[in-house]
Amino acid sequence: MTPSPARRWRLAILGAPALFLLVVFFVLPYGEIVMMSFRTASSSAPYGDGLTLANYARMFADGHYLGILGETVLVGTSITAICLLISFPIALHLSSVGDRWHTLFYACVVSPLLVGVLVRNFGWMIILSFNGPINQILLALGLIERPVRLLFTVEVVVLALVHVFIPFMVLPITTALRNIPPSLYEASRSLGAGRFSTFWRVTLPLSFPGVQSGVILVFVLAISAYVTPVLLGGQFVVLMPTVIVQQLIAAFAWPFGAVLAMILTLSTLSCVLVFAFATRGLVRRAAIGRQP
Amino acid sequence: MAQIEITGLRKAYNGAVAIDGVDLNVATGSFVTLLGPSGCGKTTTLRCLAGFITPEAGRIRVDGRDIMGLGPEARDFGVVFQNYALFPHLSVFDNVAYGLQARKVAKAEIRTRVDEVLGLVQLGHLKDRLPRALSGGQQQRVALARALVIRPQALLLDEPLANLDAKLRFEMRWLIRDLQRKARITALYVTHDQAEAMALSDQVAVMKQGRIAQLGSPRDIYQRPRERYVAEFTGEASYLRATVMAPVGPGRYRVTTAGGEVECGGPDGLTTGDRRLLLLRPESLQPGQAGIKATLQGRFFVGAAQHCEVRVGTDEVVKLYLPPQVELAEGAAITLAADAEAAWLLPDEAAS
Repeated sequence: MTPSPARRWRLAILGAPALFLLVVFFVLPYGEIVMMSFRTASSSAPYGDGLTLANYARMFADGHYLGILGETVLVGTSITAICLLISFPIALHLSSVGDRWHTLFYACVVSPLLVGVLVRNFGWMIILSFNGPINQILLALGLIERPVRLLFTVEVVVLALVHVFIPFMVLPITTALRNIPPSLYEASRSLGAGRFSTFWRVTLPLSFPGVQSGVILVFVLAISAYVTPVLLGGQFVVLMPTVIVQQLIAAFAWPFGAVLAMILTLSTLSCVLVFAFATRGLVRRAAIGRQP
Repeated sequence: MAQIEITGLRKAYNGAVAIDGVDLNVATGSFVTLLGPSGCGKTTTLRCLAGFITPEAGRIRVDGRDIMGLGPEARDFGVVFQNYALFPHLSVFDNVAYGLQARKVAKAEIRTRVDEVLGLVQLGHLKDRLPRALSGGQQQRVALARALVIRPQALLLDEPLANLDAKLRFEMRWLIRDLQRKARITALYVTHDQAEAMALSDQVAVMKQGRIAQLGSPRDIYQRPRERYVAEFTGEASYLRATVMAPVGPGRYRVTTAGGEVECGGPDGLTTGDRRLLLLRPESLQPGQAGIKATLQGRFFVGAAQHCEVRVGTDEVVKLYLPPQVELAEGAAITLAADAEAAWLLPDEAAS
């Protein structure tokens, strides 16, 4: 059924604000970045008039940037994997906890998001500093002889990002687990499968739609994280978002910065697409309750 | 194949008693149904048996062996669920093979056994489909195949036909009975549908508020119910206040009602002057020469029969079915000949 012209107009008007926002704040800036990446550099304006591929050539010729890209993807993947390992048991618990404690557990899970990004990172800096509580405790226990440098390591960046991204992994997995009818577990047990086998053959595969959303969300967030790597990694942890900002703001090399941004976006996108494609069969099979 | 013995089973949820002392014996190879309205405890009983919930008191023995300490996976029962509970991510074949894989049966044997059981439920051609690509009836047949293929000690069926339409329900009834007889497997069935219960079962246990009100053959519970609750739950019925005049044989009595004297059946031990309720099933009454005098109060024509209501005495109403060719005006006098085999005396809860 096609809507009448009058109705179509009304629908268009309803959608207009969203469309406006999307075009002005997403499509146009992105178009600008794409354009910029093909421009020549200029010292008086963000970019010159000429069109060139030199920025791309420079990026691919210089192993330095590809190395950083590789490192960024690796860090993003580690964060995602650790998040998944930590979040699954939490989600399993959340999906089964009864009424009374539910809200409390939920609040605990989303608590990292309740603190602003700067406050959270300065908190980490205090905890992990040379005279901070962690070093004090390690000293007191005799595990170390003098304070160690905890800050400005890639491990700390990973830790801090895992901490804040856990809700993005826990919530979709919890939803997927809640969608599994309890009778499936009973059916599995009554057919002779123990708890472990039931988890492996029923719970895990049927939670996959949630796992997929969580993995994609966390990976994209981890790859593009800027504040935490800058504050907790400093000069020792150099990831793509940091390099891009340096190029744009410090070096004033807008066209080259645009190239790096393009490359990062395309790499993230292809990682996500490859992952989604590889796991689409699992997700389709596990889609519960959807009739063809 | 096994004999199941349940004694003194009790279970409460947050203080609300679901079952309160259920005793039941299911003989080897027999088909027993728990029948009752929702909330009577029939499903709770089955779930205790399957091991999904732990009762507070009572014993469950299978072939004399106590199974209370065993988890569901060790009880070796084939359970069929109301919502089918098929694994949505597994094909029909893998769903049915699930229990055999859990039992570490060899691959080749799994293939043969699954193919064989899928043949029995006529789904061999759909074995590669996912459950969601099947109709409700087909899904229920997969569920049945999945429970049967493990050759369990007993089959536990929890309202397996409740989600199917009337025609399918009818067909599935035959299939279930047929498969159960062929496999000679002990079966415990839970339903709120009295026709289904009577059609399928060797024995029906009518449940009331967490207890078994009466256990007997379908004929027993229909024709010789122990109380009005059972009579009401097993089919259409009318009741007349009656007083025993004299026993006329073993389990036979002559009683008097507001419409006159009739002969009927009843439990042993009633004596002259006992006040009872006379149960009359509508299909066992017909117009006759001698019997209960009544006045036709209303009727409607349904084609194969006329459903009538007659008034007996001043305030009692009896339902009966008349053949379609009988022409009677409302208000006409009618004498009801009750089949003595079908009229039965119940305790009169209001009188005692």
